[in-house]
Amino acid sequence: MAANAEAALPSAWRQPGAAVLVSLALACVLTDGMGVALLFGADDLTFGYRAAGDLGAAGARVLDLPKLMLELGLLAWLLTLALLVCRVARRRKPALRRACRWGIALSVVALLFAPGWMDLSVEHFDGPGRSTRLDFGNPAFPLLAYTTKTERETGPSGTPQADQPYLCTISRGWKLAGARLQTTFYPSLDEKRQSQLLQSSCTELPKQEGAHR
Amino acid sequence: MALLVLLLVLALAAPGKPLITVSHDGQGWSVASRPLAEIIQRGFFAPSAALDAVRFETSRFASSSGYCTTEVDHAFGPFVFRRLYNWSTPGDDPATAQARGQACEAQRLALIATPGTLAAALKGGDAEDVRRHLDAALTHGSELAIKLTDVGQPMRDTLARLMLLDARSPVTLNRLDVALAVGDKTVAERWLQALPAEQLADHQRYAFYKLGLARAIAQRAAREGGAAQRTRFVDADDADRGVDGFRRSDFAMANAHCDSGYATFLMNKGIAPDDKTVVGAFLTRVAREAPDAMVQLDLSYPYSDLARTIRAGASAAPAACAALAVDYRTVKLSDDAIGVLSYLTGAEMLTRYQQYAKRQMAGKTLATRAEENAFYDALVFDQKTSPLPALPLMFTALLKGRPSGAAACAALSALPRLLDHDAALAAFKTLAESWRGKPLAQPEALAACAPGIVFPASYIARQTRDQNDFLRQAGIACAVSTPKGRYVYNQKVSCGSQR
Repeated sequence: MAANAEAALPSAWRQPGAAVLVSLALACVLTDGMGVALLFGADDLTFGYRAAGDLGAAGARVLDLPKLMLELGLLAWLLTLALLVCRVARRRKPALRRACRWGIALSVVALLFAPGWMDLSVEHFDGPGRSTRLDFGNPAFPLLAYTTKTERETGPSGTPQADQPYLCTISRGWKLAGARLQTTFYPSLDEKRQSQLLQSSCTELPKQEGAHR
Repeated sequence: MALLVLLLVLALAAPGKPLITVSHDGQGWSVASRPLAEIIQRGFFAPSAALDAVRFETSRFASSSGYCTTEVDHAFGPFVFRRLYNWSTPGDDPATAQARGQACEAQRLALIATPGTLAAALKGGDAEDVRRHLDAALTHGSELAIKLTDVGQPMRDTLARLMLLDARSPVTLNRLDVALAVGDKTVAERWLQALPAEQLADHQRYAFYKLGLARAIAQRAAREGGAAQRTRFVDADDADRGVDGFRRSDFAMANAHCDSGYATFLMNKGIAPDDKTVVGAFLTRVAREAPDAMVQLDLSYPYSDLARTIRAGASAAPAACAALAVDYRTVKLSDDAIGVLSYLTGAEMLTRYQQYAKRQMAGKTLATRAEENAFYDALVFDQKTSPLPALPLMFTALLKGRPSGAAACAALSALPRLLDHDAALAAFKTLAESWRGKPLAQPEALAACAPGIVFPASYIARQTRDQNDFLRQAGIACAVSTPKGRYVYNQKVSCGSQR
């Protein structure tokens, strides 16, 4: 009877293939992971993160982790379904390597064109004055962009550099669809290393009698 | 190749959107998609630019401003390749700022010299050439890259007259102003569709009226709805907000051009002029005919604010200005307003008098000038060489047929300022005769009147005689007397039993 039942089951279900199984396992892990994160209120994931007041001072963190797991989990379920359909239609097991490539490509596209409610951020801090942030979600035009912004800064007050102007690149950003990578640099926020940061990362300007900002 | 195909697909799917941008402090380049409608309208290849005011800090205490290109576009089919400019960056020192200012102006001048463009036609100054190139403007939107001072003659004078500006004003030009100046109704109506009706300047609404396109403004305002709709009962707030796209502030154009027809047009829409409108009409004439007098005016609020913001009117015949004043006869004037009108009526002649006296005194010794009353007694005003300005005609036309104590006091105050000008006296005689037989409203204002003395002692007797002649012709039982004495500042008016 078991043999009959097994024979009645289509071969695609009996032997789905490694790709389908891996995709299914990944979908389950991501879905369960999202559930656990929501259950325990673990919205953020941190790695050596340390704050100085309201500012991040060191380490990294991932914000809105459940949203990332939700999006990737949905993608994994869709991929599993697609692989199963492919298995049934073509009557042979889909190749694992090709399935991995498709999965990665679809994940990248999903992150680049994630909708607005799926905003996700990854941040890294190198002192209070310097940070790098990667955002996903809400794709908008332009599709591809690179922007920089400079600002005039002066040395710390109460030091010989107080009236020395510097030109600093305070913001540098790259954008591809909904993915945005931005580095910010505000040396005045890092009181301990302000002089060092100005001298190492900014351009010294000639002292002027005239223009000011 | 794949990227190009992708960009092409995106350009067609998302027209008018930026696709790629590279920017360093706002300076760089970008690629954007172009809507199909724009490709059809402007062609496969189409250069254009956008400009904006930029401030250059050339020192800590000084800065200069320039009108600089912020974007230069080269449209190529479905794509626009855009060059971005930022003329002021944080690292600039004064020398750099100054050099950037010069480079900005040089680029703008090169842009407006581009052959086959509207700016180049305006530089040439020929109206027909400008009309042919009305659709060949380089810039986006309504602002042009060219300033009034760059425009050649006679187009510059035409634009200055339209905008009521001095031809030396370095204002940036508006595309609609150019279309109105050459009288192109088609382009003007097209630009009217592109702009909200309430963003039109008052001189532009007036130009539309003169071209016979007032209905287009009404239709535009009606489509936008709101308070611009026609209302049956127009109160002060509605008149300020607008009826059929026109509003009370448009009387300023009627005043500037002494256009009685335009004033009537506005009043027929239910927009009523107020006393500030009437005072504005007088101030416009003073600003036009005697600009030196404007800085000497001493008016109280709210007329002081009006004097500061009023624009000088266009050249107009005194008779036209008098006809405009007749239209304002329905306006209920406060005593303060009537007093201001009296003051302004003589303001112009006062200035001419002062200029004449200054010329007369030139070359005389200090001792001579310091002699008591020598300044005045040496003066002989030649009224035959001085044309009668519009103001006395406007004043008398405005007050005709409606005598009041305040109006009579105002007339008595204005008369001495007119320096025995025969034509002015004739106008006041007509005014007096129009009052004859009518009851005098608020006679207490006349009983309390103190006209004041303006002019030389040798003229006081004649001025007093003219004032009493006026009262006699008006049938008013009052008389003006001048107290005796070397220093006389105020006359006295006695009425009825006080005489």
